[in-house]
Amino acid sequence: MKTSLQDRIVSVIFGVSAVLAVFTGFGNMPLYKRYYIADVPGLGWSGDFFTNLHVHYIAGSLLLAAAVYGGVRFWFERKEGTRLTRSGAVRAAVLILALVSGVFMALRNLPGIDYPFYAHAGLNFLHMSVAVVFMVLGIGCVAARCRWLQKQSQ
Amino acid sequence: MSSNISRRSFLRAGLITAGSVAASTVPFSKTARAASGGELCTLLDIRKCIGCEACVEACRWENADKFPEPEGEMPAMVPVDRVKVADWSSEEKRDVRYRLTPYNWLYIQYAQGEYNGKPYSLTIPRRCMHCQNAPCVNLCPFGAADKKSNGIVRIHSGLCMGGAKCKQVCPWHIPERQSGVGLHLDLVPQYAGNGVMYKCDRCYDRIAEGELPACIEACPENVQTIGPREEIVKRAFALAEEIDGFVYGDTQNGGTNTIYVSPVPFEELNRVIEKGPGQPHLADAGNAMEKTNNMIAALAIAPIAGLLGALARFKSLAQDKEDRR
Repeated sequence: MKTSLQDRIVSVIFGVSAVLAVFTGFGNMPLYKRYYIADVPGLGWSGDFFTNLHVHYIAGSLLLAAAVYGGVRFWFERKEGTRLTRSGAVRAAVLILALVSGVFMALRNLPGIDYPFYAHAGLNFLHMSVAVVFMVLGIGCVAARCRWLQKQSQ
Repeated sequence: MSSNISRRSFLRAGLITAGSVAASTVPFSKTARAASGGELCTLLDIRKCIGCEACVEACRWENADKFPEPEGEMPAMVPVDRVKVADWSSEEKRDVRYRLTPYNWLYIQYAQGEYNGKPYSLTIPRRCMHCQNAPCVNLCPFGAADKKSNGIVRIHSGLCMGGAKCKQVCPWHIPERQSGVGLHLDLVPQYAGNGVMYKCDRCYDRIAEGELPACIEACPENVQTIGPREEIVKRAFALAEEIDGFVYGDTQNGGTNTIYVSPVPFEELNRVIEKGPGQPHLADAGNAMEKTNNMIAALAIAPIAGLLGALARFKSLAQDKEDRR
């Protein structure tokens, strides 16, 4: 799969936004003020729940855009024998779950949209769990230099 | 002293009984049941409130079985300088009525001053506003706060970790924490969570049975009425026009299901009332979720941007191929 400057930019956006989304995701829990993270110079904003959430929205949006970019590119390049690696397939599935549940959570924040209690709590736990799995997989795959895609010989 | 207290308690009990009898003659429950399909809203005509605290007592009585009962010692929280234990469970603290606590979900706020050259003295029942788009519900990381289809905002004590995020994001900082109880004790009690948050649940269980919330039923002066939001807002504005008064709660924080009508402007009331922990303000609260919800546009644009970027890249790759041929 030929990479260009555009692909490299998208890949940087993906990496940065994934890290930021996970960081602000944890910040949605009352942890950063408690454990002095918000005291670290430059991270004061992370202790404010609304600012933290806004950064989470921005990071989530960039991650969504990068994921759609990667997904569409992959879709077209499948014809040329490009395939997801096993770890790539698992990461993609987890990422899709995290993004979709995140979008549903953002929709729930709009006025007039309320979910039943069990759906609401379940969605929170689903989003949190898949985000943690994605983070663990991400760290593991970066450390092991796992690739997302591979070219299959025709 | 003790005779004073017992006289006061006697008067309270008497007022509750009188209120119950009075309420039984008013077809409130019918109104409440009629609105089962939509959001229920309460209207508080604060001119009528005499500050007898019958509502406070009824609330405490009705919700006593929902109050926290910590067992044993409070866990030593980590880090100790950042996580304060909030323990309201002693007999003395349970009795506190001058503010909101985990054992006092409704209290009476006092406002005295002068408006238009005339002295006024008002008493205002204060509790959760039951926002239409409640930040506590939207932002609780565990989904422990929930808004029911009838407009009631409730914190599920079985799921709450007591992190108090709901209190921080609430424009009125209503929920109150009791440490030493709740789910976090079964997880990592010292390192995450710190009890359970408590606030008015507008007697959701009574409403489900077609009954009135205890505070409304007990009020001897019929300060509060409950009904479908649209109808209650209309009634509030009609009343405000009739008395040349003011409305609070209809637009605050994007709209709430608790509407106050007062003969004195709320800016003035906010100036004179005692404010602080457990004592909410009456200022014009902006819409806490507005900025967040404006950002939904970024989420809407993101997949389109990703798709267009990929198509542009695909087009340039196709062009490269064509050129090579």
